[in-house]
Amino acid sequence: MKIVIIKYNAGNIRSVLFALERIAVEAIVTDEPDQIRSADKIIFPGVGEASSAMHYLRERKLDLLIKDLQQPVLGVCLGMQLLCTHSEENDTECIGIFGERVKKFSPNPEEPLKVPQTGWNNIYDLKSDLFTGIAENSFCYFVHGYYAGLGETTIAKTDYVQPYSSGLHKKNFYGVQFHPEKSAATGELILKNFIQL
Amino acid sequence: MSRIKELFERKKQNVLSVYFTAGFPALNDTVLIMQSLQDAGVDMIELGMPYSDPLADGPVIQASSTAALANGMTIHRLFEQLKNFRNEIQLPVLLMGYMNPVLQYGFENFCRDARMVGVDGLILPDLPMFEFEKEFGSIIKKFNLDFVFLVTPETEEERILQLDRHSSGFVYAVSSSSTTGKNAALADQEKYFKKLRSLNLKNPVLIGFGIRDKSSFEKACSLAGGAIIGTAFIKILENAVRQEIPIRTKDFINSLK
Repeated sequence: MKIVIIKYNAGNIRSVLFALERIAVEAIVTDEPDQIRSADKIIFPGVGEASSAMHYLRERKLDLLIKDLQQPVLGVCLGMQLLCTHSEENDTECIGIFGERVKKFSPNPEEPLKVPQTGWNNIYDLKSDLFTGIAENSFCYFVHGYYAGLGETTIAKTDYVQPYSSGLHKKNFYGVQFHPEKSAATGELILKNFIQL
Repeated sequence: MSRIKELFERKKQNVLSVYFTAGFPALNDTVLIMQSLQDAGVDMIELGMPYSDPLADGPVIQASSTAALANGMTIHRLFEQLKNFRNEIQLPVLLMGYMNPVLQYGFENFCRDARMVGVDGLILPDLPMFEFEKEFGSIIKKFNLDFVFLVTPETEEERILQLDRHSSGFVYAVSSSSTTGKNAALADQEKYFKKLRSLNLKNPVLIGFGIRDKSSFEKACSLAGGAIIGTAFIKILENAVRQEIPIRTKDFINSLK
């Protein structure tokens, strides 16, 4: 099976590679269109800023390529957010697979929560093959200041400031806000589930 | 010779180091917990400085840090609490935490105050080796503090050797580059610790992350000089009122031996 991790100007690729290594899966990191198109599974990782990432993808027409992919694609963190329609982060039009919009956390001044959220939080209302074997309220590791709202394609929810989408799914596209590559056994199982889709 | 080096001179096997978060379960439990660990017979203490962003911790230690911060723990408070701890505690003590609050405090001030109260060493998992070499290592040495780097199964051999050269006291082997409270497959772990042994490091190796009971402690001791317990001990402290801390600690430590 050919697993491709899309290389672009948003980081955290090595920890995804290491996590895959831990579950004995080899992957290629590339921005070559042919390599990406011929993959069986594609991971679209990302830690970074939405507008510069979209700018980079558009320059290389990777945004259009991603949109046309037919095989399972997993967006992680910023990767998931870029698969939504729009991000408040520098008012960025995104790839537009998921109908949800990405907004900035704005904590209630009476109960100040720090932004970005950094650390472990629960995922619940799990509805997808991606979460086979994952218990409700399992802990996953998050680092993000922006979130996707709830919508039709929500397959996992998390509460921080308010409930939001920590997982999205539409057709062959999946997205998770948390970092499965940093989420211990739960994260490894989610990556395994994705590889086995 | 530092207290840490002295310990490893004296004891080459089955070293038990215990981590807990300062300011948890209650703000002023810090020295009592140290005393309880000493009375229970542990060899070394890693005192966690709570930080809001647990970059290398699991959910249990994250929750203890959140509670400690809510209790009002800060580095200033911690040094206040530690002012006279050397009257009671003879064990080697390391401070463990993240760079952000240490830099806020001032790195040099932090090292000076740590030395002054009688702390022996530091573990700062998010201090990169490059910055240690460039800037911070010399300050740490100036105050005669030991410094411990972490290595993971994914760390390249050449880098492990460099990290060992820069470490003094021991090297902290984590079972995986993910966070605390998780278990890698045992077979992989054995391969990794065998590799560490074959590198002939100058420092002893302690295994951290994933040690929770007698059998995992024994397993770790068979692969390295000893082990570090964190998450499992924090769980013991959860909901403990002050009077219960010594007995709970003693029972837990006894259960490992």
